[in-house]
Amino acid sequence: MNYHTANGDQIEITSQIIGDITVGEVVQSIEGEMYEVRNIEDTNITVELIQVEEDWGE
Amino acid sequence: MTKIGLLHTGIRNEEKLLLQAANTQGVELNMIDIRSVKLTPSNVSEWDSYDVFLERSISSVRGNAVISFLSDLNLPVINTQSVMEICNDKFRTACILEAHNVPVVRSILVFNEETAKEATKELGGFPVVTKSREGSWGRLMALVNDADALESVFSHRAFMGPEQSAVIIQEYINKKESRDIRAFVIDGRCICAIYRTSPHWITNTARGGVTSNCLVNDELQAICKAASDAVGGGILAMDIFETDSGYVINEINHTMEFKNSEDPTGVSISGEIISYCRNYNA
Repeated sequence: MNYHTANGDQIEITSQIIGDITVGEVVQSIEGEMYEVRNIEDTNITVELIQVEEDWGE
Repeated sequence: MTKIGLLHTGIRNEEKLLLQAANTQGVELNMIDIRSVKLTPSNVSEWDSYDVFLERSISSVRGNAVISFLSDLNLPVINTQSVMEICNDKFRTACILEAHNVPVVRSILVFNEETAKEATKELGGFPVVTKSREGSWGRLMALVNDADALESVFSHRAFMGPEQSAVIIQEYINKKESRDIRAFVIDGRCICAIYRTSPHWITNTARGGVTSNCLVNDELQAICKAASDAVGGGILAMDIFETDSGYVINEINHTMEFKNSEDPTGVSISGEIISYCRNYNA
């Protein structure tokens, strides 16, 4: 899978993907930043950096 | 067939596991991205076709708003608004557990540095832990070893807005074997538990804590049942410390993450959640 942002920056992710990757899925880069999957075309996956909200997660 | 509305924002592995479990159990589960919903009292028909809603929002602001909206319409939501309101607030959780005689880590809520120093003395002195009423993954938590560090905490918080002026001063528990316990509790029953072990004093798996299976003994089962009853039941994850005098509750999460816990425990937590939703009777 080729993860990249809309402007073409390559992202290496560390997330374990269960089943098929889906639009809306949250993945984590090796730098620890969180991205959300915006588009999937074959093996090309466009992700967008999302801000870690104050109330993020558990 | 039960129809579940899964309320989500970003989709994590937990939500995918829940989808798989629903498929396995033959349950209709619809994903509802609450970032794109419009809540108006006049569009009730959009919501009332569901038997139950399962709140899985990463954002507590959005999740809480939707839970409140659906609760006001008398639609069944897991967890309930009351449970959400209690567990969102770490200090309120501690107070309610204390009121129900459930062992809980001692906490004092303060609003300035001077009272924080007094609270620290009342808790037996440094070190103490400072934390916000809300928050997760250990954010805005600090291990405070001396008065200088405590002063720093309050000087930083002065610039974080009025919400962060309320600070919980909590007794520091020296963890046995550098671990704590996360217990997964559904409808008052601890279905499984893990140890979270870390050389760091914060043991969250999201922060690198390593998981291993924790056998659920009678004492652990009992404190989980008592804590669940105290806050209102439902689907809960409890952070628990082992002390010389027994287990004590640290925090209770009402929208739990569990992706790192199914393998070490061998329990399908997602399957248990879906089963609970299927049989839920508001």
